[in-house]
Amino acid sequence: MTSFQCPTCGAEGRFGGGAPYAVCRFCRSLLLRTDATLQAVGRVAAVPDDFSPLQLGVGGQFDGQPFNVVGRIRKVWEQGSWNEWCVMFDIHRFGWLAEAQGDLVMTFERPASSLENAPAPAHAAEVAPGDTWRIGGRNFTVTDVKRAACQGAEGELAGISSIQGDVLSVDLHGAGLEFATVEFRGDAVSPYVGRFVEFDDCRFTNLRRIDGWTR
Amino acid sequence: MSNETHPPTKSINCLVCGAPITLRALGASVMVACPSCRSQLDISKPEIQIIKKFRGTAERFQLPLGSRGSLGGKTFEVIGAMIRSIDGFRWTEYLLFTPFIGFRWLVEDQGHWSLGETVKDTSAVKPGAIGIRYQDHEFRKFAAGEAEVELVVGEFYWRVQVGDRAATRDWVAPPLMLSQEKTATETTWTLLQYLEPDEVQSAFKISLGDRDDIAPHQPCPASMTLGSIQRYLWGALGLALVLQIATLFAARSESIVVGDYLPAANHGQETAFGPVHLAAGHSLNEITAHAPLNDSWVELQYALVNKATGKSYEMGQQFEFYSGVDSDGAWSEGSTSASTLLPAVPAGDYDILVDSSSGTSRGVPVQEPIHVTLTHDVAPWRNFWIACTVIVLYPAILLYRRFVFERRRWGASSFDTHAIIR
Repeated sequence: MTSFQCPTCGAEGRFGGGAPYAVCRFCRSLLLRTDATLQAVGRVAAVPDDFSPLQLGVGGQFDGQPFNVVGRIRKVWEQGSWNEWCVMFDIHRFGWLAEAQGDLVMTFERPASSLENAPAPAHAAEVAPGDTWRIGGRNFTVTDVKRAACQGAEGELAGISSIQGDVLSVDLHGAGLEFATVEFRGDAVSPYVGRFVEFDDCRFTNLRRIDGWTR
Repeated sequence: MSNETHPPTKSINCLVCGAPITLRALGASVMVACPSCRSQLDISKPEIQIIKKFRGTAERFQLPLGSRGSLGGKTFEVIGAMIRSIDGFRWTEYLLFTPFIGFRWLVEDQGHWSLGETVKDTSAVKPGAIGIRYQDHEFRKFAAGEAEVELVVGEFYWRVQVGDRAATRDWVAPPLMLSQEKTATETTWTLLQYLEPDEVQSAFKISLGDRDDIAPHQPCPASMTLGSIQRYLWGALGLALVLQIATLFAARSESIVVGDYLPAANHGQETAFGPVHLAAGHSLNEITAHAPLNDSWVELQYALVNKATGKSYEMGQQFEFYSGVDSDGAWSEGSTSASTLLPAVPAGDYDILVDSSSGTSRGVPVQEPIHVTLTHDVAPWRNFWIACTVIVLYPAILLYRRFVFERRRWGASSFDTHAIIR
């Protein structure tokens, strides 16, 4: 844990790990941490209320490895929204636990070079469901293409590719429970690769309590 | 991190009719259809917006929105309901939600209920031996149609619209059904598990009416009973066989020559043989008569008379044999011997009295001697077969009931229904 003072509002904040970004709890400034400095690079909205049982501070497991939920980006598209929880396995290893319509998907960011035959960002608009891409040597089929934006964010974040402005978000299914999301924004392309996980298999701790519901 | 509890619902007012609406899956659902006027509202963003206005009326469902029930150890809340139809046949689909594992479907069709879950790993749905294969179950194609949404109330995780159409195909492996829905943009698979009415009644504390007909994936009761008694069936047959083998080993099966009986010489009067000593108590004995008959018949009457008590045990047997040559060649019918069991007798010495009537094609008594033997203390197979018949009687009735049930089930299928009975 390292403490910091928000360069915008002066409030106390804390970094629990090696995430480069954090959202100030008070003024909602998006802060970028470099070696010695902390600078405000933007401002984000608060995450609208939802009934997710997840919250910052939830502990969990993926493939036997423990993680902690440290941040969240709430994404929105024309017909809905979903949560992307930033989870930290250790101070330098992060994943994204997407929570959409009751499904959970754990993905990890991969280098753009792992996309073997995806279209160049300039042609991203031509992507259609049914297309097959190879990502990191594995086959995936495009199932969903939509423009998404950030509706709100909180906590510490490993990346902010979709926080500022629209992204084209492409969902792909692979063999079995494999899943990938590829985000196109301007010239940048960010693949996230992982798989569906079951709520019970995550062995969550410190879940948010919801009145009238017990697990 | 916060430890305060969180209210489970949020109340809004319909932007069209003003009626209060309770949101039960905020964040997971994107659309709510007002239960009062059925207008559809976008609830995916903090500013609620109208998607489509309706001037509908409230619709009563067996499970009202907000009903909670426990199925398979998980508590679910009904957050949405829609009525769909194929060719005018309507059914109800309830959308269930829990904050922990998300959405499930509860489908009610003609009083038959199913719990459905969207298949995430669609690559696991593969061609199978009789249709398609999923999770080690072989599914057989049952029906296909074009389903249309007729009515929507409550919350949904996509913008379902009245009039939405999907091409549906159903495969069944009772108590499971795999349902495929295809629209222009996506194909989804749902795995449905048949629920007995009791499960739904006790889960949601409601009382249900009768079921109509047989559901495509309703488990056959006779089939389930067969499955549960199968162990006992094999056990009983095994036991009967073991008993029979033990009886065979224990039986003496002692062969005693009674003598050669001459029907022609003794016509109309008894001939006495013996005495024979039958050592085993309460034994079964088999008398075998053999004669080189041709074109003749014999009827024999036996009486075993216990020398000590004078009690007589009687039995008759008959056999006949004919042969000849005609345009088809040589032919024969009948037999030149017969074996017959006597009633059980106590141990002791017995005289054997034989009487007969016989005839040949020439109208005279049989001339040939009849060789009579007695096998003492036999273990007949008859009891074993009777036991087997009794044991398989109930399973046979169940098999018949299963046949009738499956014929009714598949009679409602839109596909050819060959080889349904395993």
